[in-house]
Amino acid sequence: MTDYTFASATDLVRLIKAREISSSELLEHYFKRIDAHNGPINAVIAQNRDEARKAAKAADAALAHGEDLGPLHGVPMTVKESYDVAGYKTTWGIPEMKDNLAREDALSIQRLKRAGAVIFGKTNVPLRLADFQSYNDIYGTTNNPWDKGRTPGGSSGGSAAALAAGLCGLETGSDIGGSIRNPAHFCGVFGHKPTWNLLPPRGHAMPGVRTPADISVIGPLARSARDLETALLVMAGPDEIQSRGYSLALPRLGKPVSALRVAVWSDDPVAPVSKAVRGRVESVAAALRDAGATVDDSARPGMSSKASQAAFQYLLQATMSSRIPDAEHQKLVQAVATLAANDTSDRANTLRAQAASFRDWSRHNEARTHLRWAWHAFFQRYDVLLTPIMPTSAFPHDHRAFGERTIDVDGAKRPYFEQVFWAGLAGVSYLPATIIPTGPDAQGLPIGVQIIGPEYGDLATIEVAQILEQRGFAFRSPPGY
Amino acid sequence: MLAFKSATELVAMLRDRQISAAELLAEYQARIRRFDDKINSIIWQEPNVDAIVRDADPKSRLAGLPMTVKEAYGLAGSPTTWGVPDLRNNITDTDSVVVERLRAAGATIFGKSNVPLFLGDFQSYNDIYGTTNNPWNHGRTPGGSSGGSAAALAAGLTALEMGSDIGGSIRNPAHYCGVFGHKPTYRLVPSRGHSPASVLADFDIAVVGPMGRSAADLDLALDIVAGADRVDAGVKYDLPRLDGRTLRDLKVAVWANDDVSPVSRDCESAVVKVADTLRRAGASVNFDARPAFTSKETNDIYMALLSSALATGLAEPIYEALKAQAANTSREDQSEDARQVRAQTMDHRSWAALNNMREQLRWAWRSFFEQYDVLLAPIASTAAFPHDHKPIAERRIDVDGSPRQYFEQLFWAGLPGVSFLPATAIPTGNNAAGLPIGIQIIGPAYGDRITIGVARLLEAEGFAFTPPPAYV
Repeated sequence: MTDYTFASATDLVRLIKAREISSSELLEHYFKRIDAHNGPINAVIAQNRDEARKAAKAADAALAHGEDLGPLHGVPMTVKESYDVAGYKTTWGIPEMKDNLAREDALSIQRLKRAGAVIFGKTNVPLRLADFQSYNDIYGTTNNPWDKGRTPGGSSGGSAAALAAGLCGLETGSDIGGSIRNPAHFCGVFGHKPTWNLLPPRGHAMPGVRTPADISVIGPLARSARDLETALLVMAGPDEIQSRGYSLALPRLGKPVSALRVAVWSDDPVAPVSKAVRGRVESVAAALRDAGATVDDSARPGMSSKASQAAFQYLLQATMSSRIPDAEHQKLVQAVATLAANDTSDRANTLRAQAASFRDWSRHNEARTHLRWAWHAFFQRYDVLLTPIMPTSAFPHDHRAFGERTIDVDGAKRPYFEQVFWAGLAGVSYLPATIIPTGPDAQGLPIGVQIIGPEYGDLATIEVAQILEQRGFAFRSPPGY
Repeated sequence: MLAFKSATELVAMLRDRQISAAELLAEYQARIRRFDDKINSIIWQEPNVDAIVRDADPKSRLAGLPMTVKEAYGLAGSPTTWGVPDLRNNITDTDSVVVERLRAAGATIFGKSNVPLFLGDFQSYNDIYGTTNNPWNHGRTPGGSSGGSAAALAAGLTALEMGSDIGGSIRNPAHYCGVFGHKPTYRLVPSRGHSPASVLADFDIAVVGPMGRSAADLDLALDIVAGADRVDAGVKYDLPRLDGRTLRDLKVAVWANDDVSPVSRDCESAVVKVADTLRRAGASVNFDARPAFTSKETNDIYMALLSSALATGLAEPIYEALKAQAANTSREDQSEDARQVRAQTMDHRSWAALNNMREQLRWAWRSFFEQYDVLLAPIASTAAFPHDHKPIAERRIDVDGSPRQYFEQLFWAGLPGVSFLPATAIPTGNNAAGLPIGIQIIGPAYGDRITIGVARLLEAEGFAFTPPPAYV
């Protein structure tokens, strides 16, 4: 049985369909692993074992009748707490929401179930999904399976930790500021942040909210790049409101690795990264170069790092502040009124964005649209861009106030939120980005690398991840699991 | 008469070499010289048109068809001013996506048609180009903001037109001038380049779309201009069609009048007349069917989103003055002025909440269009009204003797607009005063081919373009 623990979802489906193992056996196996290993990491924070057993049994029965439920037939999986799953609570870690029982499945959950997935539990998040760590007053703190004194990342921290510890077959998270990508990087798994709105997020929201939030996406995490493609295609495609005349035509890479044009952006003064992280971006680039790809270390889109960061920070803060309670927002508005006109500190800029008028928001949206076109031109010349996703590997738990936190980058203290630059580079411009693991660093902590592609180039970035996976940039299990 | 043929017929003639693009162009140029001083619809003509028409390819999709576009479109070498005097010398150096696609399909774009200041009126006059008159009655407006487009089509001065619409700007001119117009599903046709500055972001609610003398022309043009912009590659549109269904197979809802924006008897009876035709043809027709929200809800959401979107384009001092005014308005004040100024200066957070309310409307429409194929509704409160250049606050619309607020009738434009739905305007004949009356056929998101398809079937039943007698 242990052989299957860290198998990819793709392999699990193959094994189930070949009747080498049943969905029910696999499910019980993950239950045993959760009983043995989840306590110290606290990744899986809700389970409905009886319902899952029924679903697994149904998957097995279907197979016995020769029925194929789809590309995820019988795969036991968990999902991030923030998705609505009928019968589970959706709280986003907000204490006032602790009794918010979902009555129906999010659209993506419906699609996963229809593709045969057996959803048996939910994984932990930070308060309002707004941190690079995953702790909250309802479910407590999730630890990194590679080092329990460190965070697994966030906001999809429970997702990445559960995959790395071998507690589930597949995961699905969400990402507005790296929330799929930094946990994948910190825990050594694969993750994909899709093109904005490619996967309809309906049901991944607070009660009553139906509009897809700006920048925010849902997307899969897995132990293999191939799983990302399968899960992406299951969850992608227009929601019912658009489906009458709208379909997807996602381009594939359509070329061998020897014909790839690869740009590399391994460090930036706006968010300097550690030597180890930079080295991993460069070693991935070297692997592609060795395989015959054309690699350009100096290629940059027609924009400054600062312009991207400014647009991202502004639009992100404006969107995040539309989620907070009225009273809290009122305090922000009052704080803005006390700012001096010439105050351009980070705090002042953040406050202004949080209290943005629609008019100012529109200006930044215009700036973002210019970034999108600059990327469009860039990706005429390059197939993918390699970048870091965070400046460091997983950092020790830090539950102080946000303003007090710093990140130690090779001995230099940097502001905690500065590092969101690498996530925002793709995020604000709606671009797809796939995270691949590159193995542990000297401290034994995983490091991931980000592969960014053009809008709707999701299958291409995942394909490059698959190429690299075959060349050794593959999942490794943490010691002790 | 040649000048009044549909673009579809003209393309067929050009392809069959019954006429050349140069000859057809000469016909329109002669008619512009003869008639346009009375209506002032074509306000710029292409200086290089001889070279362009010489290169026209009769085998291309539009076979060299001579056509014009609304002034607001970027077209290399032409002024794009939106009627704003400060932009008088704003000569565009690139084509908008729509112009690019039309040219690639073989159109001979020979001119541009008039608009109101900032495209913000149901009339079409400005200090750069003057006033456009309605070919049916020169004392009346052709509508706006695509007023020049509709007037030029009705007067037989062009073969095909492209307009734009955020508050009925394709539909009310079509209605006032007796031509066809189509407001597409939001973002189906890329609007990039339809702006005086180098604006790239999509503008909420606003769309660009075709106008013509036949419903078939709307299909022809939409086919060419629809489809994701380059940055959105990966999205493919495959618009559903009637697929052989005829009038007798249709489930039709009818919304002929409303207390939020009462329409005149002639506008209401035009809707009823079309509904009766459909019923006689065997369609199932329901006069009581409504989506699951109130008229007031959709109107309030529309007006607030429209105001906030339009305020993003205001000059800084004007916006600052509005902000001061909003700050001086009490929260309890629910007057129209107070609500408008609050909407114009709202914060992004309030906008996001409002946008979410719009999303609920969209889902309600989705359920509604599970039960009905199309919805028939008026476009404006009355037929074309006499020119009125007073300040907007002083203007009134005379609805069967009752003076109504000028912008109240935006309700009918906003009904599909705010929810991103397609709407096709068709002519239904003239009222007692000899003025055309149009109605709109609203469909589900991406149901553009359905609403145009129904327009084509109705055109065959007689709801067709007729030229104004003085221009024949």
